[in-house]
Amino acid sequence: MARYDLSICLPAHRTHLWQRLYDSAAEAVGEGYTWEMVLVGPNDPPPELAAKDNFKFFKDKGSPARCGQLSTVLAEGELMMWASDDGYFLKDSIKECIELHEDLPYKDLVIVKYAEGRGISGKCPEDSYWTAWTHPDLRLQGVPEDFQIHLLAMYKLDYFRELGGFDCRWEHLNMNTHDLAFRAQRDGSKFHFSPNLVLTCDWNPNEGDHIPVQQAYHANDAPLFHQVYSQDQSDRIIIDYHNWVKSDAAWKRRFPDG
Amino acid sequence: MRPELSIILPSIRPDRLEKLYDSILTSTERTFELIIVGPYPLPEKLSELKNVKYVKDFGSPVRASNIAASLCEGEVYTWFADDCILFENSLDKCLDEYRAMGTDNKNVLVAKYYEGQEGSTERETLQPDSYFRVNGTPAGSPHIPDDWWLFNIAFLSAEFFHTLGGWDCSYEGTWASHADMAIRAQYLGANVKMAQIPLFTCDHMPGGTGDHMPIFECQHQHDEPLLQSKFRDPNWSTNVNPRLKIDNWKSAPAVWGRRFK
Repeated sequence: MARYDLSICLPAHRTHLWQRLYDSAAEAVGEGYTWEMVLVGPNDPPPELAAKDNFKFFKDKGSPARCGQLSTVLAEGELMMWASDDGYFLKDSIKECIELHEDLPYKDLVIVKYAEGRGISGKCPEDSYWTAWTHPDLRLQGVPEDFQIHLLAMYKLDYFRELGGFDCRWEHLNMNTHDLAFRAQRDGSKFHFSPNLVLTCDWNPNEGDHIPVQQAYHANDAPLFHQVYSQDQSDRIIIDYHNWVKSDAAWKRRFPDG
Repeated sequence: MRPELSIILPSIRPDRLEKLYDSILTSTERTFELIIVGPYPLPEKLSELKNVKYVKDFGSPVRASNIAASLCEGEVYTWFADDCILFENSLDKCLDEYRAMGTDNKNVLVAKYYEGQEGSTERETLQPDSYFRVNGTPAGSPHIPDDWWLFNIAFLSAEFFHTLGGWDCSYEGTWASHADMAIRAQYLGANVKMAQIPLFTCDHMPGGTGDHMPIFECQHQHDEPLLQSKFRDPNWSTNVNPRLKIDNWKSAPAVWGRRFK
């Protein structure tokens, strides 16, 4: 039996926002389920968070993908989901996802709806947003027309690990979440929408600490995705879960001096 | 860059860590990382080092070891205790011997060490080979070959370590879990060689003295009976799964009740 019902796993470097995220998670999960938050990133957590029993932290200066994958290594939940530390969860929204998961087969998962925009002003997209071919850059030979994407999702942790989790050749948690979603669907996974918006977060590609993420998208993640998915990928389902070892221990876009 | 060596260290004695780390520096010129898992924060000096990783955990020494192993990035894994002091060049000599065995990922180098109370003659005496054989210890079984080694200290490839799934976290103390891993590894065809030099010297607390009582209790009350029940079974090779999941630490209690209330 798992120690927690849910592990909320994420790469994180904005320590000043973690208390808000943690407090919102408590409101979003409610009191009926147990949960932990596992953060991996370059900056030590505030002492009041570090002292909490259901808060774990591991220091790493790697890419967001590497830190995200590492956070799942330390997870002890029956279920897992990931998120971004520049946002907050909405009340009862995670509880609804856990309840939905309770009736789902092992491989099925919940698309965690989120919104993003400057100053947390984003609106929840239409359901069609989570169909891959809605997005022109995903209309590729290796992406079936009916496949869905899940930029955020809730998995059974064991299934996430069986699939191998995130491919850390992609630097940010974006194109590799598409890759993960496609691998899951090739393996027979069915996707189900969260009943409501779960997370709302900040986003502006040209400002502050978002700039390295946008650079990674243009310089590596989008070209790599195009290269991989311009060919048939029918056999691509399971990858090496330990693949984070092959990515740099210091993400040069944020830490040029290592 | 991926380090050559990952050193796995469950730890409850943060006051010993600086001295240990300094001794590692004298023992190798290779790239290494030290992964420490335990309940207490690192000393400031170590917390600032890029090749030292830390996870806070209140679980058993075996759970802590497998958590640390899950975070290793090295090509070769090894482990020891936080009361060890390594001898000059000893890690490099062991790695040289390990590399000289060839490239088979099932190669394992095991090593001897000095262990005893400070100032005792035990601490200056290297045990004979029989001390490091499975059948020379409480792990012994009529169904285990006499030439199989223990893995109290071992060097093995990351690939083989992950094939084994590290340690079985149904044990609490490291000694029995090392023996269990050794038996599983040799069952799967590990090529094991004993190093010709001692690696380190470490403390030994007889019985339940010092902070050793929880280890003494778990070994005698839980781990040795578990080990014997598994491998004194004539059909153990059928009944024991040699390949575990490395995240089997999740099934061990997050708070080790023998040490932490």
